[in-house]
Order: sequence, then structure tokens, then C-alpha cells
Amino acid sequence: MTDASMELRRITILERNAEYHDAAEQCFLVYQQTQDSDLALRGFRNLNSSIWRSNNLAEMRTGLSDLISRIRKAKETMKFEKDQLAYLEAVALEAEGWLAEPPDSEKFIQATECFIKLGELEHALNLITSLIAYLNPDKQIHWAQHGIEIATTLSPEKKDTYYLLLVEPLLLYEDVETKEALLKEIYNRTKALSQINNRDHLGNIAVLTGLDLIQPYRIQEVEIHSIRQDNVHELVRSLDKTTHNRIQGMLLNLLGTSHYRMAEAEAITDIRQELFKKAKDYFLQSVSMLERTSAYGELLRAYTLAGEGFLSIAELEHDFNQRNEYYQLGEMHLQKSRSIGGFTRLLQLRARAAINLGVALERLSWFELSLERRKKKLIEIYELQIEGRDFAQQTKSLQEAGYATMYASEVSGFLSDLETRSNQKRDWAIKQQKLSRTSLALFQKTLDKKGLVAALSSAAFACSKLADLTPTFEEKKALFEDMFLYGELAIEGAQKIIDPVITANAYQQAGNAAQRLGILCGDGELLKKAIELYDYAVQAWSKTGERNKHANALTQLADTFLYFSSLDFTVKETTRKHYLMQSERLHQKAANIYSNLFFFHDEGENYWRIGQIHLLKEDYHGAQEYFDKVQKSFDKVAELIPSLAEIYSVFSTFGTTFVGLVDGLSIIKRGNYSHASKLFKELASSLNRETDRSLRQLRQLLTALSSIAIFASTNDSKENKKAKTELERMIVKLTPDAYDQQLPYSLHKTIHRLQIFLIAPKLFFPPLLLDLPLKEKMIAMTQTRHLVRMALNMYQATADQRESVVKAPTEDVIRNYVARISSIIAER
Amino acid sequence: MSNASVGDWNPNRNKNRAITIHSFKGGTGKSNLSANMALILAERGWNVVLLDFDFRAPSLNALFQMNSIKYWINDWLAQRCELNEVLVDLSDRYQTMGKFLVGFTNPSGKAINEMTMHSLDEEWQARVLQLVLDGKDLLFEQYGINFQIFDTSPGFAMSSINAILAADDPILVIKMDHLDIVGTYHLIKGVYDQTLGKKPELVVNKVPCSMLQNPEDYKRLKSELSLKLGIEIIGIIPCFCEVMENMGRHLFVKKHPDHEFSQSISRLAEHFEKGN
Ligand SMILES: Nc1ncnc2c1ncn2[C@@H]1O[C@H](COP(=O)(O)OP(=O)(O)O)[C@@H](O)[C@H]1O
Ligand SMILES: [Mg+2]
Repeated sequence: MTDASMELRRITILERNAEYHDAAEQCFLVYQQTQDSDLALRGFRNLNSSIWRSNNLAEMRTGLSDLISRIRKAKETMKFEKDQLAYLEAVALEAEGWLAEPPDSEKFIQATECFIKLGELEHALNLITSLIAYLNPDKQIHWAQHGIEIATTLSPEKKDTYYLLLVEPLLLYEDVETKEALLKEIYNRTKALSQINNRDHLGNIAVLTGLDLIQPYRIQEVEIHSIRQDNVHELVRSLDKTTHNRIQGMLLNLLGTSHYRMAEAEAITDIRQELFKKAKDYFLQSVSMLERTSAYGELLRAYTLAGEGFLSIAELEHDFNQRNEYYQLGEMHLQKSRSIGGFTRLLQLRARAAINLGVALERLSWFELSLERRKKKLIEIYELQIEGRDFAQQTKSLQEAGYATMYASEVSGFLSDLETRSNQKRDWAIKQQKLSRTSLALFQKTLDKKGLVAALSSAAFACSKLADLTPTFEEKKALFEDMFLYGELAIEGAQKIIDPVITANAYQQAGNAAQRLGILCGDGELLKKAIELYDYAVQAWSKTGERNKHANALTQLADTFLYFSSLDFTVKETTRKHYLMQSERLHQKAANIYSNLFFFHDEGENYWRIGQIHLLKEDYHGAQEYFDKVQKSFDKVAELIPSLAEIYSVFSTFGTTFVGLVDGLSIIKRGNYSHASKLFKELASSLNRETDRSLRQLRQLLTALSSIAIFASTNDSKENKKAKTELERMIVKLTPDAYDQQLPYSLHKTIHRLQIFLIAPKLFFPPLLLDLPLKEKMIAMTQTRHLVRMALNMYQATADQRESVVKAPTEDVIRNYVARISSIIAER
Repeated sequence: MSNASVGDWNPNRNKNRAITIHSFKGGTGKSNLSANMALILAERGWNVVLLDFDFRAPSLNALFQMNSIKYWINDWLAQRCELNEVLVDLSDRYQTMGKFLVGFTNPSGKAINEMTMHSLDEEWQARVLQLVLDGKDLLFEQYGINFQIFDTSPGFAMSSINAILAADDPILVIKMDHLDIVGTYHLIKGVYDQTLGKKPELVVNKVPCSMLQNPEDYKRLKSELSLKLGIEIIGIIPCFCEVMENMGRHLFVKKHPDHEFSQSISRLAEHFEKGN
């Protein structure tokens, strides 16, 4: 055997062992002796193959640039035929395409066309499968079809693998109809082929792919289990590392998606959660596979799916910290999707990434204590949703557009809550209403029942927000009626789907609607309905991880019992007592949950309500006990949020003082003026050291009440009568607004001009209306609650503002400033 | 104590210096130092104006135990009154040879809030600077003031920047604390050197007595710090428990003129008397 043929044998062995790099070097070495250009070309083929063997993206990139420069040099130093040269140029083009960031689709197309011309069909096909992610939709489909055509010309064993490889880019294709048609075709062909080739696992994967994509909501567990991971391993064993990683990633995405779908169809919460977790694990594995390739389209898909997986898990997680962590992980993965998304033209996935990132951030924004920062975050989230919607609209994906619009609507609602200026508040609420209607219309055009239910609840939510800011009775009523309708439709829809969170929310919104409408119209039947709905909501929330919403439903249920007991005048006194007890029990339960969650404001508010129940029962001792608890809760808030310490201490002092005040007034009603006077005096002196303006006003009021009550208790009938009239007048004056249905809105207009401390007394006064019918008292109490929330928001907004301006200027700010005033100095 | 009627004074000696007392950290003793040094200068016959320019934590009001103030510096800066209406004449109270006038800043939460609202408002700050510079001319040229001392907010505060811009002698006070030294270093480099183009002088305050056991120690500390910070050290003041115990009740130098602390302040005052 000659030296040369020995060398050739060595090369062949190296190639067979897939030691492509050594094979390439060997080729080049032999070329030096023989000047055979075929051998040089073979060297470059091997060099190229060696690059894709790598498991490491950075290493691959170095390999690619090395390849390019060696081809350049070879073109000068070696002699090639025309076709050979064209091939080398195409290989270099492809390499350049990969090195560009984002990958350069133009170069890929040129290279592909060249490979096809040269009859390098497998190479061309390989490139096509990558190319598609970087093209505009119309071109995507052209190349996919082209790919299928080429695949048909390959040998049967190769054909099915390549069909499957084409599935990957098609999964990313935007237009659903065309995508499904093509996938169906591939599915049928692969299935037929795999029988001929005796490769069951490929058939299985085809089944899975087909079922998963063609009938996404009807996938059967059996089919999913028929594809095991060993099948995947078997398939990819023969492929180079990059393709291996790509396919592996794609199949893991598919597996994860199937589990995700199964989870969505699972009614038992624990199993549902298990499946979500499994799906998430598959997505994470997929991420780690695809991270090693430059298959950005699939990687984008993997990150997005993983992020969505974390969000779904978080919603069902009961542990507070764990849940938070899942949201953070979700955020992290979706941020990554967003940054990779820019490399691709995959608008639908980019829409999903933006939308779900928005959701993750929204969930996390609740932990933000500064309202100013929270507002900034929410605006950012709103913008993310709009970005998502725009992407979705470009791809005509109604479902994604629907979700983005719905979330944008909800965020608008939260922004309306946070806004302190009344016009802006209303503007956001109107925007919320509009967006919610749009999203509803979008979902009605899709088959997404879950989305539709969610959109209905969200539309109901929008109605209630707008109603809060609407002054007239008629308009309010109309909005609440709409709300109730949406709520009922949502519940109806929820029967047909399985999703604990969406279902719970449907009941919650319907309950809210019934309650608000019932209170507004004084309709006991509606309140009864609300109780029933809230009961369901409480049960439904308890199945999710949303414990604060669970507590909120309990609070609402408790409140509704209270309203109901006071509205229905036919109930017997014992029944009424029973309702009050029920309400107290539920408030206590809610308070406990809030306390565990560290939501001390809400804990305090529930105690405050219990205190009020005791006041209604004229049990002043019991009321005082609960107001002490309120004080303790508020102290805890103050500890958590120092900027609110002041207001909370004022609030709790008010709470305790006003119980005494109510007690005093009731004593006056019973005619015991001197006793009342003494009580007022004591209360006044307990406020002696208070520096807060409104507490000082309260002290003055108590002092005045005390001295007038003394006169009322004297024997001088003229003085006595005058004093009594004066007392009555004062009591009426204390509560001028509480009666007013429009109070929340009219107060809005003035509230930001007023010091919170001036309003605070009024906030606590409505229950003072001792002589009002119970119903009116209850209404006044709801108003109070709204006002306290609103006032707190106001206060915190200004506290944040104060905090933000105290910030010191930076060196840059000082530098700018000095530049600005330099003329002042120069003049002197 | 009436408002100052500064109109007809004759400048008794030919000296006009505006001094700012500033620091990186809070609690270095700026207010204490400015007040006591102002008093000593006035006792020695100079006409002195002391202004509270710490709008975040005004403290001269408490230090001098004032109970009724007609106009605050806040009012002057918001152009609700003139500078001379702000200055309270304490020469009689302290029996000083020279005039001793003090301008106070309103320590109420509301006033602090109002001032912090302006803290990054360049337009407002530029107007304040105009007022300060006009005031400086007025006091020196027409009212015969020899020393104007500004007690300022620590760190990066625009009001302090204004005072430093107006100063002839910008003074930095540090205490022997690693963080403070590092912070001061950056303050000198980043703000005084590069931006304001001023070279401050340093007073080292609250030095633990254990670090100052013999005269050599003073020298060593001086050269070490001036080497580190690249500026001149004009005073080293030990930490005295008596000072802490007495603050808030009266000006220390008045009550204990012979105490070592008072002597340190005297020497500091001499530094400014000697300067040009
Ligand atoms: N040399 C000193 N020895 C002991 N205590 C001092 C000394 N200088 C200042 N202090 C104390 O340090 C505290 C802060 O002083 P202060 O003048 O208010 O600082 P600043 O104005 O820089 O914030 C005061 O209690 C003061 O009595
Ligand atoms: Mg101070």
C-alpha cells in the first residue's frame, strides 16, 4: 500500500469515529503532498462537522471564525474547481451568518440556495431547519415547504428524521392554519415512514406532535406516556452534537408542553401542581440543552415555557415565600426570553414573553411597599402588556392579544387605585373599562374558554372600579348591573373549564357584583345571592395558593352577613344576632390569615370591623377590646413601613378614642349627662400629649362636649335646655357627609388638597350616627372603609414623595448645577 | 432681643471672611463648632453673623434656646422678608464686644418638608445663591460684618453647595472614623476639587483622648491626615465628655471659658483672625 492510500485509510477511520477535527488536519496534511483539491474540500467538510460536534457555544463560535479565516486563506493558497469554490464560499457564508448577532438570515438564504444548486441537499435541509426562526412569516412558510420537498428526496431512514427536524421550525410558525396543515402532512408522512423503517419511537413522536399541535386541548395521557425519554435518546444518538441538542431541546419542550396541558386539564389541585412541576422541569432541561446551540427560536420557546411554568406553579403554591420565589424564577426566565426574542422574528412567542413577564412583575409588585415605586412598576407592566398586544396583533394571534389586553386592563385598574389625582384616577378606570371590553371581544372570537372566563371576570372588575368613581345613583346602578351580568356569565363559563384561580375569581367577581348592587339598591335578595357566591369563592380560593384572596373573600362574606342582617327588617332579633356572630367569626378567620401573611393592615381592618359589630350590639367593652387589637395590628404596620408610622398611630388612637366617644353619646341618649361629661373629660385628657392636629381637634371636641354635658345635667332648666340643643346640634355637625351616597367621589376631589389628619375624624365618625336606621349605618360603614383605604393611599403617596425629594443630589447633579450658576459667580 | 438694626455700624477692623462649616457625615460637631467659634470671635470684638444653613436638621434654634422667632431664614429665602429682619442680635445676651447676630432656620416638620421639596430644584437653588451672595456683600460692605459663618447640612446637599460657593474659607469637619475619612476624601476630590474648584481646610473633631497623649501625637495625626486627604489641617479638637453633657443648655465656651475645648476653639478662631 502506498503512503497516500495509508493516509486515506487513516482519514476514513477518523471520520468513522467522528473525530472530525483530526480527520480535517490529516486531509490538509495529505493535500500538501498530493495537491488534490478533493482532499482539501474533504478537510473543510470535516472541519465544519467538527464545529457542530461541540457542546459549547463559545467554542463553536471560535471554531466558526477559524473556519472562515482558513477558507479565506485556502482560496488564495490552494487550487479549487469552480463548484468546489462555490461550496466553500457557501460554507463560509453560513458560518458568517451564525456569527452575526442576531444570526443573519440573508446569508443563510444565499448559502442554502447555493447548497441546493450544488446538490448538497442534506446540508441545505439542515440549514433550512434553522433558518426559519429568523424569517418573516411569509418567507417562513415558503422555506418550510421547500424543506419538505427536499426531505422527500432523501433515503427513507433519513427522511423521517428530517421530517421531524422540520417540525421544530414549524412549531414556531405564526399562522395557525398553515402551520396545522403542514404539521398534519409531516405527521402523516412520518408515521407511515416509521412503520416502514421500523422506528416506533419516531412514530410516537409524530403522534405526539400531531396531537399536541393539531388538537391542543384534547391530548390524551396515553399518547404522552408512549413517548419516553429513551426514545428521544435513541433518535438523537446518531446525530451531531448541535443537532442532538436542538432535537433534544425541542422534544423536551414538547414533553413539557404535554405535561403542562395535562396539568391544565387536571381537577385535583395537588396532581395539577405535580404536573406543572414536571412540565417545568422538562422546560428547564430543554433550556440547558438549547443554551449550547444557537437555535434561538427554540431557546426562546423553552425560556418562555419555563417562565410560564413557574407562574402556574406559583399560583398554586401555598407557602408564601416559596410562592414569591417561583414568581421571581418566572420573572428571570421571561426576562431571558425577552432578551433572546430580539434575535428572532417570532412575534407570537415574543408577545407571550412580554405578557407573562408583565404578569410575573405584577404579582411581585404587591411586595413593593413604596406606592411611588409600585406605580412606576405598574406603568412598566402596562407598557409590557401593550408591547405584547402589538406583537400579537401583528401575527393576528387573537388569543395572545386577548390576554395582553385583559392584563393591561387590570393593571389600569390598579393604577387607578394608586393615582391620587381624581381626573387621572377616572382616566385609568375608563381605560380599564375600554380595554376589558376589547379583550372580551377578542376572546369571543377564539376557542379559548378559559381566556373568555378570565376576561368576563376582568370586565366585571372594571365595572366595579368605574362605579366607585361614578357619582350618580343611576350610573352606578347600571355599572353594577353590567358587572353582575359579566359575573354570572363568568360562572357559567367556569363550569366548563378547570382552573382553580380563574374559577375562584369568577365567583369572587359575581359575589362582589351582587353585594355592591344589593347594598346600593337595598335589595336583600341580592345580598343573599352574594352570600351564596362568596361562599363558593371562599372554597375556590382555598384550593389555590392565593391566601390573601382567600382572606379577602372571607372578609367580604363576613361583611355581607352584616349588611344582610341590617337590610332585612323581617329577620328576628335572634337571627340577626346569629348573623352578627357569623360575621365576627369570619372576620376573625380572615384576620388570622392576614396575620400569617404579614398583611397587618388587613388584619387590623378585620378587627376594626369586629369592633364595629360590638358597637352595633352596644357592647362597648367588647368593642374596646377589639380596638386594642386594631392598635396592635397598626403598630405592626408602622414597624414594617416606617413612613406610615405616624398615620397609623393617629389612626389607632382615633379608633380607641372614638369607641369611648360613642359610648358617651349613648350615655347621653340615656339621659345620664354627668356620667357622659366625666367620660368625655377623661378621654380629652388622654389626648393631652398628642401633637397631631386632628387629635388635638378631637380633644377640643371632647372638652367642649364634656362642658356642655355638664350644663345639660344642671338643674337650671333654661341652661339645661340650651345645652341639650347644643349637644344635638354638635352631634349632627360631626357627621355631615356620612349620609351622602356620593361621598367617596366628592371626597376624592378634595382629598388631595386636605391634610389626611383633617379627614381622619370624619373617617371614624359614620358609626356615630346612633339614631340612623341600621341600614344607613351599614352604608356609612362601607363608605368609611373606602375612605380609610383612599386616605391611606393619599398619605403614603405624599410620604413617598417626601422620601424621594430628600434624596441627595449626585455629583453629576452638582456639576450641572455649578455649570448653570457659573455666570452668577463670574459676574461678581 | 430685637431684630438687628445693622445700619449704622462702622467696620472696626478691616476683615471680611465668609466661612462654611461642612462635613461628609452628620454629627461631626459642625453646629457646636460654628456656634462656639462665632461667639468667641464676637467676644473678641469682631462683628459676626452666624447662619443656620442646615435645612434638613436645623439646630441653632435649639442650641441658642430661642423661643420666639419672627422671621426665619426660610422666610428670607422664600423672599417673604429681608435678610436683616432674620438676624437676631444676641450681643446683649452674651455681652460680646463685637456684634453677634444669628439667623435661625425653622426646625418644624412642615418647614423642613418645604425646604426639602426644593432640594433638587435648580432654579430655586440658583435664586438662593443670588440671595446669599447679595447678602454677603450687604453685610460686609454696608453693615461692617467681619465674619459670616454658615453652619451647613452634611454631605451632598444643594444648600451646602451654595454656602460653599459663597465661602472664602470652606472648612470641613471630620471625626476619627474610617467611613468619615473615606467619605471626606471623595467629597474633596469629587465636589470641592473637580466641581467647585475650592480647597477646603480641615478640622478634626472628637478625637479620642487616647490618641492624643503627648504633643507628638498631634503632629503625627496632622501629617498623617493631611497626607491622606491632601488638604491642610487647621485644628485638632479632642473629644470631651463635658461638651456632650452640656450641649443644649448653653454655649460651652461661655460657661467654661477655660476648658481645654474652649481653648481649642479659641485657637481655631485665631487662625481666622490671622488669615487674610
Ligand atoms: N469635641 C467634642 N467632644 C465631645 N462632644 C462633641 C464634640 N464636638 C461635638 N460634640 C457633640 O457631638 C454631637 C453632634 O454635634 P453637632 O454639632 O450637632 O454636629 P453636626 O452639626 O455636625 O451634626 C453633639 O451632641 C455635640 O455635643
Ligand atoms: Mg448641625
